Formats: sequence, C-alpha cells, structure tokens
Amino acid sequence: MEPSFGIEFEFDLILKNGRRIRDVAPRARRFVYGWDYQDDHTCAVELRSPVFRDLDHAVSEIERQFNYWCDVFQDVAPYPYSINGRSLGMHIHIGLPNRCLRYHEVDVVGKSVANVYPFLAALQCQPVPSERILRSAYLRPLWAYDYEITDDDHYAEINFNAIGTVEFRIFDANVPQVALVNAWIMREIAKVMLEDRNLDVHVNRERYRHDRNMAVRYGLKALNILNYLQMIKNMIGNVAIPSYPFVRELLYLAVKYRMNAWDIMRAVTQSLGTREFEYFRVMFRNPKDFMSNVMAVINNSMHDVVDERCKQIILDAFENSRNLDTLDDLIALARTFAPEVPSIYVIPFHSKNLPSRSYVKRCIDLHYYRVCRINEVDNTPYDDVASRIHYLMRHHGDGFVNVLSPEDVINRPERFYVFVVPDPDNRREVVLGCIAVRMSTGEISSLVVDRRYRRLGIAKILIKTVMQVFDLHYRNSSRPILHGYVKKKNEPMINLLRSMGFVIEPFNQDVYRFRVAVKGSD
Amino acid sequence: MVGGKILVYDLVSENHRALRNTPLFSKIRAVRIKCTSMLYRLGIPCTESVILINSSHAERISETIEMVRELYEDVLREVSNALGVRLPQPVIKVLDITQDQYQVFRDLAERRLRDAVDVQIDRVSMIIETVGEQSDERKRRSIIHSLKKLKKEWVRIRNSCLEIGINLEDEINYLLDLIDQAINALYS
Repeated sequence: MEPSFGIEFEFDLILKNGRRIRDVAPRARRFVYGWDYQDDHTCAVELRSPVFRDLDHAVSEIERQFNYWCDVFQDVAPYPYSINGRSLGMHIHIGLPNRCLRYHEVDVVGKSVANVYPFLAALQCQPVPSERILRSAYLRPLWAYDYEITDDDHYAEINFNAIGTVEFRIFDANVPQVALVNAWIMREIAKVMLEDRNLDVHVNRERYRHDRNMAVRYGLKALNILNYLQMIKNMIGNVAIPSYPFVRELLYLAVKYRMNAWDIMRAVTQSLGTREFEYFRVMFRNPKDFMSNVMAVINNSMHDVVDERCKQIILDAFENSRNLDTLDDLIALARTFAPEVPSIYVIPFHSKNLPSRSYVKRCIDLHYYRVCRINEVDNTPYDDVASRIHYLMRHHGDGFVNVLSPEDVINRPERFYVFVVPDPDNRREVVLGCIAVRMSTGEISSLVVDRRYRRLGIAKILIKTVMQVFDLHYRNSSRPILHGYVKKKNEPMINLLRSMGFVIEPFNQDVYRFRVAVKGSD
Repeated sequence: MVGGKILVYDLVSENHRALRNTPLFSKIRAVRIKCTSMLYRLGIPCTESVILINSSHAERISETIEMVRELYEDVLREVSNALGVRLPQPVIKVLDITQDQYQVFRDLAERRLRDAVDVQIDRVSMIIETVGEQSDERKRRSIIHSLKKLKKEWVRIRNSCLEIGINLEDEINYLLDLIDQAINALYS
C-alpha cells in the first residue's frame, strides 16, 4: 500500500486594496467543497484537505477547492505569508489511506524526513528569518524531545498525530505549489521507508540542529544543497521528477538561484504594490503552474516596473526547468551552480538592521532602555542573545576580550548582563552591549559595546549595573574586590574608569588592572 | 534682519522623453551629478535642492555657479544640435534669509546630517566587522580608496558645520575615528 498525504492550509485574507484581514466571521470559515475546516484563532481560515492518494489527486483537489473558494469570495484572496508576528503554518501529514501508522513506521518515516528537514523547511521558509519557526509557541524543535518522534505533544515539529499519521509542522504557510513539492519528496521517502519493516533510522543530531537553525535564519543560501539532494537520492533513488511545471520550476529556482517562492513573490509584488491580491488568486486557482502564474500577473499589470534581473530569473526557470527529468539532473545542476565557498558569510540577523545611533541616543536620554540577563531579553530566545554576544565579542571586542562561543556564554560561570533597547517597531529588543562578571572573584571579564553606539554612555551604564548587582549580592557578607583589565592604549575606557572612581594600576607593559577604590586604603 | 544665505537650484535632469535611448542620456546624467556635488560642496544641504551656505565665501560661490552654468550650456547646446530639442537652462539662485528662516534651515540641515552620520557609522562599522572575510586584495584597495574619499568629504562637512553653527562635531569626529580604524584594519 502506497503512502498517502494530506495538507492543512492556514491563511489570512487580502483585499484588492492590499489590506490584510486576520479575523473573519465563523460562517465565512466554513465555505468548503468536500474538504474540512477548523476554527483556528491563529489564522483567518484553516482548510483541511481530504486524503490525497498521489500528486495528481492532490493537484486536482486543490484546484477544485480553491476555484470554488475564490468564486464564493470574489473580493478577497488567500494570503499565506506570516509577516508582522503572524504564525501561519502549513502542516503536512503522511500516512496510509487504509489504516493508522504503527509507531515503528512513524519513527522510520519521521526520522528519515528529519534528516532532510532543513532543506524542506528552507524551500517553504518565509520570510527569512522565519519568525514563526523561531518564536512560535505552536512549534517545538525536535531536540526538545531528544530527537524522538513524540506522540505526546501536538506542537512538536514532527509528531505522531492522533489520527494515525506522522505530522510535519515546521512549514511556514505558503502557496500550494510549495507544499506539494515538499509533500512529493516526503511521500517518496515514506514509500521507500515503509517497504522495509526492519529499518532503523537515526537523526544526525549535530547537522540537523546546525542546518535547521541556519535554514530558518538565512534560507536556502545557508545550506549545502548538493549534499541534501544526494541524501534524498540515497534514500529514494534516481526517481523521475513529476512533470508538473511547478515542481521542476521550484526545485530549479532553489538549486540554481537559492531562491524560494517567497523570494519570487517579494520580487514581483514589491514592484507591483497592491497586486498581491491578483498574485495569490492566480496561484491558488491554478496549482499546476508556478512560473506561468507569475508571468500572468506581471503581464496583466505593470510589467515595465518589474526588475530586469527578476524577469530573467523567471524566464530562465520557466524555460530551462523543463529539462529536469530526474533527480540526477537536479544534482548535476547543483554541482554546476555550487557556490565556490560552501558556507556563505552572512551577518547574523540579530546583528543586521540595527537601530540608528540617533535613535539609541534618544532612547538613552529618555531612559528607554534596559540592562538585563541574557534570558530576559524580550522576544528573543537566549541562544540568539548568546549568539549576539559572541558576535559582539568577535567583531567589536578590540582584541582584548576573550571570544566565547555561544555555548560558553550560556554555560560559563560568569554572569552576562546585556544593554538592550526596543527596536523602532517594538517587536523585539536589540542587544547593543554586554558585560560579564564572575561573582565569586569579582572579575569583570568582558565589556563590549557595538561600535555603532560607542560614546553614548552604554559602557558606563553596564558598569554601574554590575556595581549595583555586586553590592546587592554581597550586602551582608565580605566581598571580593570588583576588578578587571584594560589595555593601556584603550584611552576612552581608561578615562571612563577614572571618571567612575576606579583605581588603575599597571599590570604588565601593555595592560592596566583596574579595581574599585577601597575605603581607607585608597 | 539678515541671518545667512541659502542656495536653491533646479538642474535639468536626464528624465526627459527626448533623451531616452540616446547617448546624451548618460551625458546629462553625469553633468547633473557633477554639478550637484559641486553645489553641495558650498555648504550643507537642507533638502534636495536647497543648500545652506556660508556667505563669507562669496567669491567661491559665484565661481561655482558660473562653472555649473558653463557645463550645462555646453551639454544643452549639444542636445539642441543633436536632437533639435531645447531643454530649459538650470536655475540657481542665492537668497538672503532672515535669522528665523536661517534657524529653520539649519535645523533641517542638522537633522539630515545626523541621519547621514548614522548611515555612515553603520556602513563603516559593517566594513570593520567583515574585514576578516575580505580576502580579495583588489577589493580591499578599492574599499580603502573609498574610505579615504569619505574621510575627506566628512572633514569638509565638519568644517562647514563649524562655519554654519551646526553642532555635530562629536558625532562626525567619531565617524572619522571609525574610518581611520577601518583603514588600519584593511591595511593590516
């Protein structure tokens, strides 16, 4: 018996004038044509597909359902992207059409797919970084379950669902074409894995964790796609790629340009303004095609304003993706267009798009900032904060700061305090500087401020905070002396320490030792 | 009461239907960019076509305006000969303004400069952050060259600010320090 699959589509709505709608009347959620629906408060509409036997069945069903839906709702289009804090997902279930899966089957299918999950996630990821995957409460990574497929938690990113399927939840909502490409790959893997009942599959933990994090933060550009394609081929063999244009076009885009459907949508609709309405209606009504739909939108509207490079990519994918007949063709393409440097150098997202210096100055003037521990930064997981601290030490540390890895930042005995301001759109807090102090010895081991924001008093605020914390910690007991080391040529820092009353004494020919003044002796 | 001077200008741009798909399109563009930067060097821009100038350099101002007019005259004559189209002459005026008006324009210029300093600090910080990844020697040299040019430009802006009375010296000095750091990092 060949595996079947099903898809849960979550989406918001978009009007002709570009306005997006998050909530609709419960009655409006129920317009389905033979499908099921769910009253889900995290999205405007959630539609659940029936069991799809294969890709042909899925394409025809999706076409029928969304044509019906678009006929009922003439003035709106589905809007599947998770921007502005939305958590729209697309959940894909793999199972058998006639019975529930057994736990061993779920284990084998889930773990096999997990090994290529970062690639599949990057294909569907949007925007990049994916806020939903990084922050949503409705999605928990595999390592939270020690890389086992759980049947206890519905929100695990791969779980044994109560309806007897293995559910893959990592995917951001997207146009149906993208979900179908992923569903096709996962179904092919499941088909092979379910044939051999004695298989035992393990997840490559280090690679999974690293690549998943990179994929959701930086998209396809951060992955070694050739490796992933070879892994898929090792599992399912050199299978023929379905002849539907969208499958070939999306894989071609991913392999040659490291772009996914979100990149194309953004490139096209950014220049088309409010034409997102047309874009999504065409995409959902005609799931057989992808690039033809894009070209239809461009040609029907302001085709002059779409960027030339974008047009070239669209035409290239449209014309040349037809030659991809098998997985080997795709691997050959990946080999031809493999980047010279395998892992790209990217400025991490937490260190990009930082607020302006004037904004930070205003925040400091208005006391609109916080100094807190690394686990207290709003809307940012502590490992991202640790990663930002590592980045600050590495690139802003002026050579006298021990560069600690993010893991060390979390595990070392020093306490880290970070200086944060809310970013201008208030969706997260941004770390601009940090200080580390070892409470048992009183040593200030690191003090770093992003060089964009130096000379604004951030270092002073951080040192004052540590002094207060130190006083509080040792208020009833004898305390070690708060001290640290500073390079002799670091004049701004030395001036600051002097102005704060620290005693500065030579340590060796390049370095001063500084310490708080002790009453009586200094 | 006279408080200072502003220079307002309207230069002919290349976005003219008759110039489309002709070699004169890029020529007009090049002249416009050159003239704009010449005019900007006279003071501090407040908005796109208004520059707050220091009236003590009257001679330099009239020389620059004359040069801009000559450059445009040549290129417009060329357009007229080649395409038979008479494009309008550039408009450049120096206006006396009152103390209150001067104050308003100075605030506008300060705000604009502050944003520009922020952007440049961000840009130079980014260069320092990624200096380790930059292994191409030619690219390094080109970045050093552009940083030196940037430094020269900001030294000029700092001097103009002092003349006009815009208080941004600390910020600009910090930017200049950062540029020096970036150049040193790229050399090492």
